[in-house]
Amino acid sequence: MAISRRGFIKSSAATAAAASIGISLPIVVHAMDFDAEKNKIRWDKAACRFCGVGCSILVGTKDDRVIATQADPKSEVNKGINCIKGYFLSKIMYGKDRLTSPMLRMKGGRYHKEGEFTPVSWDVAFDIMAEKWKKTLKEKGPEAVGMFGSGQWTIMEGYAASKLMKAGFRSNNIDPNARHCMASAVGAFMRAFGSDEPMGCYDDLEHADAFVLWGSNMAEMHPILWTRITNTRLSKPGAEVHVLSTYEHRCFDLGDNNMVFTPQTDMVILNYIANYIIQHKAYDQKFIDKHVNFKETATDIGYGLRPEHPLEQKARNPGKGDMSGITFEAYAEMLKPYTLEHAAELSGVPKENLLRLAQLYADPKKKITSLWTMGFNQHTRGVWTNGLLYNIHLLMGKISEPGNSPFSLTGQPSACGTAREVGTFSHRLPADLVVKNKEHRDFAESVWKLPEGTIPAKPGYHAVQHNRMLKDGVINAYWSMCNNNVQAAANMNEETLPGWRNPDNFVVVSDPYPTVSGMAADLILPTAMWVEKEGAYGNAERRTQVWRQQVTPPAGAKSDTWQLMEFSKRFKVKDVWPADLLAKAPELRNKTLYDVLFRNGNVDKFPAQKVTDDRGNIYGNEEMDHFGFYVQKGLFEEYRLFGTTGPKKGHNLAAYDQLHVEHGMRWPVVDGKETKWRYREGSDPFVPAGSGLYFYGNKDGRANIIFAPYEQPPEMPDETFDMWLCTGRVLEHWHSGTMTQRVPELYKAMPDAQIFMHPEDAEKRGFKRGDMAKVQSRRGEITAQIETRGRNKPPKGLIFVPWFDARRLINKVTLDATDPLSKQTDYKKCAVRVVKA
Amino acid sequence: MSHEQTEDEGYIGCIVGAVVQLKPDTATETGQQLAACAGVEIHGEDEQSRLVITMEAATSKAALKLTEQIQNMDGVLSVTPVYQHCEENQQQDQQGGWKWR
Repeated sequence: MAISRRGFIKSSAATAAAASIGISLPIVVHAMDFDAEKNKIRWDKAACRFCGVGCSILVGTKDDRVIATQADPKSEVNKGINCIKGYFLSKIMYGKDRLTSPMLRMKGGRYHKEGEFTPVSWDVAFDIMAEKWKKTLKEKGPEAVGMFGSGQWTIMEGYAASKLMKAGFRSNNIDPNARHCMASAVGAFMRAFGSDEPMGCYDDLEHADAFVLWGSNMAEMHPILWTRITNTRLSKPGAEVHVLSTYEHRCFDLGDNNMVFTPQTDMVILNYIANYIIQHKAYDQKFIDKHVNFKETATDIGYGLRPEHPLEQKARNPGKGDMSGITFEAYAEMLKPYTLEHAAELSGVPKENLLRLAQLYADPKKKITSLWTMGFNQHTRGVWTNGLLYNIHLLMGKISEPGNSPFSLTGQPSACGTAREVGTFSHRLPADLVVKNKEHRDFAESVWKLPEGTIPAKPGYHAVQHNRMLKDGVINAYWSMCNNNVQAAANMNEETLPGWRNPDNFVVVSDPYPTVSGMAADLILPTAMWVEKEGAYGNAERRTQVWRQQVTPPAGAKSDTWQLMEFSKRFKVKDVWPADLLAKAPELRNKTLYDVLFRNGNVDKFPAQKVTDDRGNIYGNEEMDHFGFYVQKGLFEEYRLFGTTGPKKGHNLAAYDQLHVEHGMRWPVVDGKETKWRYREGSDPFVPAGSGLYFYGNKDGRANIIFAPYEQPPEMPDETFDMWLCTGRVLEHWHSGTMTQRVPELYKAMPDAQIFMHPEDAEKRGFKRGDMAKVQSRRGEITAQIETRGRNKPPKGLIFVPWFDARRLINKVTLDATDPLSKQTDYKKCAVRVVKA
Repeated sequence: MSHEQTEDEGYIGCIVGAVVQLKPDTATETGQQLAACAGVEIHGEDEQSRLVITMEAATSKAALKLTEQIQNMDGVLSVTPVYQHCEENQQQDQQGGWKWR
């Protein structure tokens, strides 16, 4: 009966919601049991497909289709609650325009750069692709092929891609979209601690007394973590929330001390707080003596633009990251100009707000968790700025213990797990290893059973350079997977499009849907997504989560792993490697890259098996069926060797089988036990007994406080371009909107990107709310509607434009200036004007 | 099986269980407003001014609209969905994104 079925579903919904806040309801229904029994819904856990929080979701499948989702009550991340994106998660796979056939640009029955997209078979697609790759490798060598990857790749996909590029094609030109997102955070972790990723974890959100948001709109971007902060703020006496941003957003609703600052002056505020701590002798002398070194960094380092750009020509030390040791006294002296008056003047934040913030950090009794995302990372001084915050936590000894936590949040579900930990960057290898270190390359080659010298020592081109090198015709064969970089990369008109449409180049895009990038490519490969394959993600708190394949992908769509491994079959080692390398391993000559990389005794170690859970359910696994062995487990277990036996300690991941049982585990995992606070004795097994705290990423066990001054951004408003432009995301859409814009509900909630503007700025320019206007920069323009009342409230002189909208591509306007150290683009500030459309 | 009509007795549409965090000082008034919303049922609350609600709507689109309506009410700090069951017409119009050419 429909009534009772509805009643039971409703009871399930209410009971689950009640359980998430620890109350019981009078209705006694074992909802899941009922559903499983009566509705034949199969429930299993999976990590959410969207942001870097890494919520665990129970996926309800019926007739090979996902029809229900529930927040996983056993998840320590989301503790049984979801956000709105998770709410419609089940629908991202069912957009009408899912790709089911490779699409090749063709004219007159064959590939043509200016041809029309035409459906072709996978064989034809790989034929033309292999032809282009082989030609490029033969004529120009490995540096002319490239791959753009993703923090949305599963761990195994990123690992397979990295291996294929670095060891197969012997090209380090692989970089993920995480370059746009996390690179500055990585750079700062390496410089301060010698090891990537946060020392703390989400447990800090309940332990802290105060939260400081530095350039993160968590209320919209990380709603689950924001809910946890809200709970702490409302339930713990004396708890407070401080919010810093360049415009007012939803987090300000909960803020006790809200601060809108002039772009780039976060650096001034951070140095002011350090100066305050020193002037008031509030620092923890014992901690400093035992655990800290003081350094200064090379200054006037340019903006990561093309070398001929006037700003690069003018810089004294373009791209330099050199650090030199200094004394505490010298550090204190360098901070002296950063007074309260100076900070207030430059930042525009009232003195009393800044003073309150400084006093909070300087109070030894307050446990503080500082959080940031793109505000710090998409910053032409992103590495420095991340570091300036570590300086404050290190001066006070407020680090690596419950509640005291400088915490770098991430944007993508596996920015940490895949891009960073697997090392799909142009300079990295798994587990914090780097290509330019001989010992690290040797180790990687030994795990991969490849001859010495296989992995090239020179870092490849980073993400922003990819588009420049495509434009210049240096890279000719290019594969973009699991992202939408034409829309995402800055300065689209001058770099990206000319690069992708350069007649010398062949560009391939793998995606479940047609995207702006697909449209700009020459070949589109239809891709299986999320729970259409078995996978694993790693979230921002070092938690690795694994899921099983829940549904069959649409016919014709193949996972990235399948695509990478199948493509590797088309290359003989002798066609790809140079003679001197072949001479070291002549037995590999006639093997394919597939044989060498994926049938090496590691990856194919685990035979095909039935995938089941402890409730007796059976799951599909397309890749296992196709290749004849347990592909995901083999890739993961080989990758895991980097953490368990590699030269950098503290990167141990849990065994693959254990991760199927647990609802995620935080590395380092030793003897089946996870680590909540790295570097802290009692929590982290790598800390020597009796030392209390040990930053073992650095040889001397000490973290670095690194002085860096305020330096101006590359472009600031002037008479012609009189406003700041800041870009970012909104709650309903995730990143470039490829998936969320296909969920009609989300699309309707926030259909078009708008120009968020202060009412007085609008009035001064003769705009009414809803008028169409042009945003123009020195590089390009877009047209969109003026919004003066929206939920984002910019101060006078700044506009905010979200970047999810494929029809209003704000990256025609943005500047491709980067942090010269991390090579991450600054999407948060450039100069524009707004005129009538 | 077709679900063209929502009055079809087998039609489930979208059923959601959620937690609503109210501002503690205005919780009583906001709770009353919430109870008056069509499709919303309050099942319980805790001492932190968090309500357990269910929302019922013909489509997930309508469920989102309802969620937004609640989110935008004065006195509501957050709405967090926990459980969502959507069985609606699979042929519904998928808007947004690109039209394949």
